[in-house]
Amino acid sequence: MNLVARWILFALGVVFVLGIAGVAIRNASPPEEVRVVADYVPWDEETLRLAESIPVQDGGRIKPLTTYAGFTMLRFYGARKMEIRPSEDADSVKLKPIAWMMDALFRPHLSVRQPSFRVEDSAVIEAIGAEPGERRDRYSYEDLEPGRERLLELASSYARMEKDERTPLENQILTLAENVRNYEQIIGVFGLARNGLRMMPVSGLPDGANSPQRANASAVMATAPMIRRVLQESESRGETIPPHVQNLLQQILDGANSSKFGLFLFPPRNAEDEHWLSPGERVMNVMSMATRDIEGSIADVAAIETLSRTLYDTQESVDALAARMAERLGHDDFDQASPRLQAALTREAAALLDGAEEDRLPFVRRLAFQHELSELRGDLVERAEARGEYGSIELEADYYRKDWFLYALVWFLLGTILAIAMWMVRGLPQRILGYGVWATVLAGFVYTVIPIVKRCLIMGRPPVGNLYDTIIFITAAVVIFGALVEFFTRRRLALGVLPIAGVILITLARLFEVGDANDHMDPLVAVLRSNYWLTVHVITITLGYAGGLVAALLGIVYVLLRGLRLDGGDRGLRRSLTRGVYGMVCLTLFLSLVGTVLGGIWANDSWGRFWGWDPKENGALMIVLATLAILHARIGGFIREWGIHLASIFLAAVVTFSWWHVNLLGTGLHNYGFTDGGGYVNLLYFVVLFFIGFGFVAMAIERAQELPKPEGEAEGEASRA
Amino acid sequence: MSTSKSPFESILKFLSGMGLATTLLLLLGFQTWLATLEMVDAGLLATLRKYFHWTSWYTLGEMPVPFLERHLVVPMPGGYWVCALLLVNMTLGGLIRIRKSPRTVGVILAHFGIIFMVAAGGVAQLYEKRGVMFLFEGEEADYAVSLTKPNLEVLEIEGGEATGEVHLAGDEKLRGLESRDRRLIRFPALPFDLEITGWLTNTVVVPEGSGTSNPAIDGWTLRELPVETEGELNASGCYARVVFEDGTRGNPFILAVPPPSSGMESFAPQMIEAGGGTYAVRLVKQTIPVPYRIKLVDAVAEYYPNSMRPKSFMSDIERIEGESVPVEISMNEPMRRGGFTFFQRTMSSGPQSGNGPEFSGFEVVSNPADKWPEWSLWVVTAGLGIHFISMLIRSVSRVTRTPKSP
Repeated sequence: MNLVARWILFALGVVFVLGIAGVAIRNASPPEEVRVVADYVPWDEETLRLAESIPVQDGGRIKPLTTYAGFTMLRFYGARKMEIRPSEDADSVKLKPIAWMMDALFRPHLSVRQPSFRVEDSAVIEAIGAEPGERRDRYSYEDLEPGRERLLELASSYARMEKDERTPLENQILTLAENVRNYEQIIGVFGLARNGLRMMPVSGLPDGANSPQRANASAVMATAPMIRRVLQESESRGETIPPHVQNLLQQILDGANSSKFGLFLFPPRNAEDEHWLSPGERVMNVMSMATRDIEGSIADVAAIETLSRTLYDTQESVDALAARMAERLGHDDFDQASPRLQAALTREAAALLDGAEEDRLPFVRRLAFQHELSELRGDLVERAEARGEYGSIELEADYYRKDWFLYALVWFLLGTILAIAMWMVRGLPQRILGYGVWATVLAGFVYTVIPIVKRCLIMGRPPVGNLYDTIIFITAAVVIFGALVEFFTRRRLALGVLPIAGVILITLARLFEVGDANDHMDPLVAVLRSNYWLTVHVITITLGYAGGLVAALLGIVYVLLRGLRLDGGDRGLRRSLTRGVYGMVCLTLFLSLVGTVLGGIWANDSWGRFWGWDPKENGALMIVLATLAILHARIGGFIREWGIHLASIFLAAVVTFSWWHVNLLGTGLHNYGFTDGGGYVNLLYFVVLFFIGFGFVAMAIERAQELPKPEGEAEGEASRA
Repeated sequence: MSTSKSPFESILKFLSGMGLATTLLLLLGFQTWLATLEMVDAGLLATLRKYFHWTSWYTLGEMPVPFLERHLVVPMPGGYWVCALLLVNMTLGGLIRIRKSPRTVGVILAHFGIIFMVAAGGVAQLYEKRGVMFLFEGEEADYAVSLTKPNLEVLEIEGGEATGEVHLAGDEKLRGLESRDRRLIRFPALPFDLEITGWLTNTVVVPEGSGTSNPAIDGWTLRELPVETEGELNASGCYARVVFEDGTRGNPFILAVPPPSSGMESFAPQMIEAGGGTYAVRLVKQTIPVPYRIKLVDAVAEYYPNSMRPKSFMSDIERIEGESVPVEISMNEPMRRGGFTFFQRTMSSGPQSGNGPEFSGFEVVSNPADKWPEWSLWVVTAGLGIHFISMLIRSVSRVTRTPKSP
């Protein structure tokens, strides 16, 4: 029986590891179907490396372009990686967020064919009159375009409805419409710069002087005072505005509007002005004479004109372009470029000189683009540094490049496998595997704490300010608390639980990040902007959650060990676990009670009331009451070993209610954490109920089999402990 | 030696016992859970009234049944009385009857801290005054208006001006009124009383014939509105008539609080001639006088750039009490002075408003126990800290003494 139970547990453990690994892999992987985007050429790594740390303003803070790209891609596409194929026969290309964003910004003709929009239900596509695919599928902008008008029309009517009255389908239509609108803003960012303005023939001029031509927006901006004078003169003479001027102004207005919201790229010249400017704002501010920085605005727009057109230079201009590049390679700029860029440019130049005629165009284009991007980035970085706003950009770009939590997950998964093996053997092998578990848990812990510290440095605030922060912080806290229990009990039981908890929590963090798709490093709202209270209240209460979860996990271990007779009746082992759980319940009470009261004091300073029966406050109170009830029942002798462990498992449900469930209620003042995900919460309640039910059955069987004597002795000793 | 206990001792033992403590803690936790779920639909005030008001001796909790769109009705004692009993239990068991020894110092301190905290809540419930003060830039005021509590005001009028004392019937006289009730509100210093009927918690005055069955008076009537879950959004109203000293009764008239959206403090009062004097009667939200004047100099609402995310709400004010003192009030930084605390509550506009905020709203609270929870926290922290650390030390030392099991 013992052996059978052991193998059953082993099998369950393996299923658990595989399940979590499957969820994690699926979460990090693009969809199975690989869309063909004809003639797609991947960006080279150097260009992407240059682009990812370009500073932009989004969500109220300055962040690297890669962060903006990552969360935008998550919102639209639901993953951080997209796989496409340049042709049916070609190998697939994996697009990272920065590459996906660069396509949208600089190669919209390719971007619109990428399947950038995730749609959960094909009924949405049917409703807008486009061609539906699988029930849950991804669509390109080109796929959605036939239904675009209908989509916006439906969204407009649903937006007027109360949130509670909307069906899930209507909510999905609203989300898709918002994503499509935002996408259009992104592909429009460099539209005016790339396309320029088409000049109308001017009446009265000879034909030769009226040949169709294009003008740069920057050139038109330079003539803004002249245009203004023409307008004023026309107005004073009571004449209509000349048609070619009217047409030009309309094009400027349309172009500026479409590039007004997608990317706030340019730091303002005025140090006191916090609002970074988009290309559209740069143009409009000059045309409407709303800025004193006319030269700077024109220079910015000229820079993005050169940059965005470089990729579209034609075969005819290849020689001119090559000459220009050759000139630049010998120019001082080359010496000032980073060693990495110098190497890339030299490599490209060599390839260019040796390459066949038909290969020269992409080479030259890429080279020129990289150079222009480097120039623009250099200018933006310099200006951001002068304003003191570039400090943590490189750090943040590196944070997302390293993907710390993925490595933490790998370590914890490895630790879980070792822990399962450790529990299967005895003696020396167990001790050796125990060291292995310690090592992997330590590695996972380090890979969890480093990004938490980095986030604090980037955000300039304590580690916990939103729901995502709580998950990763609790992961680290659970490891510390569990290690403490292991230190005192030394039974390798708490130790084995740690990597399992790490796997569950890191997976939860990744799922939440994908589902929520919001940048959790964005600044906090006014009422939360207090580093003192974020430190003393939020961290304390979050540590309380961690304590409750550790107690519950130990309770589950106890119930499984005793229920399946895996402990061999070892009373010392049971006592150790009981002591560990009791200590964790005490710690949970201390942290939750102090944290809750601190929250009340903060609320008193913010809103003028100590207690407002807000759901989050109630949840914290429930943890306090549950731990108090457990301790009083224990002291009063109403519960003994079984009782305290079953009650501590129940504590997990109370912690889940306080930590997650109240966020689903959609009411209360702690509205920074609202989210979806009721299914996961219910799953956890079910798991809790399952283990409690299992514990009761096991306890009843044990009593029915009349094993009370050693049990009674153990209880007596434990209760004295 | 007899071991039988007197009934008093038995009751004392029961009231101070761990069994009662555990039961009450579980019950309170269960009630808090049900109330949290119920307030989503029923609203905060209604839920609190149902579960935790002192008038609710018992309550019928509604427990959701998993996988079914139904609720299981669970009868249980009212939360207020559960708390009261818990307080008795804590006092008897955790302070009076507990064995006094170095080992229990922490526990006693912790219990004392909690009792002190509950006492702070009790004092706040009895003596707290809470209102709002809305000021436009450049405006001054020396009073706040209650968020929820209506006041029936009678003003003595002479020469068209309000003179003398303002006679009030406040929350304590109007509490619990419902539409079917008829209640006589007595004003001993006046030559008349007022009879109130048809009380509506949330109502609006509409022209006669607006599809309501309530009585019409002078072409106007009251239309009942759903009671808002946010209590401060409700505007009460009722029908009233004067009952003179000789027992005769005047004609009925309407009294109503203007809707919060109107921005008005009161409707035009009902004028009454009685005992040779003229009186004005009106229904308003309770006025809370403040012992100094507040002038709003500047209201500053900051939002993070290129976003709708609020960054800071701050009001530059002048506190005028003899001399003018400049003070800054912002979120998390209230002003405490003269028994009143001013909290930044609201501002008039967001980032989309080009002209900037025009007014600032302060929540004005007078609570004698304002700082008690903070003091009690230190006591509880010290108590639990002492107790748990000493337990840990004892446990560790016992483990190190105990030989390892094979």
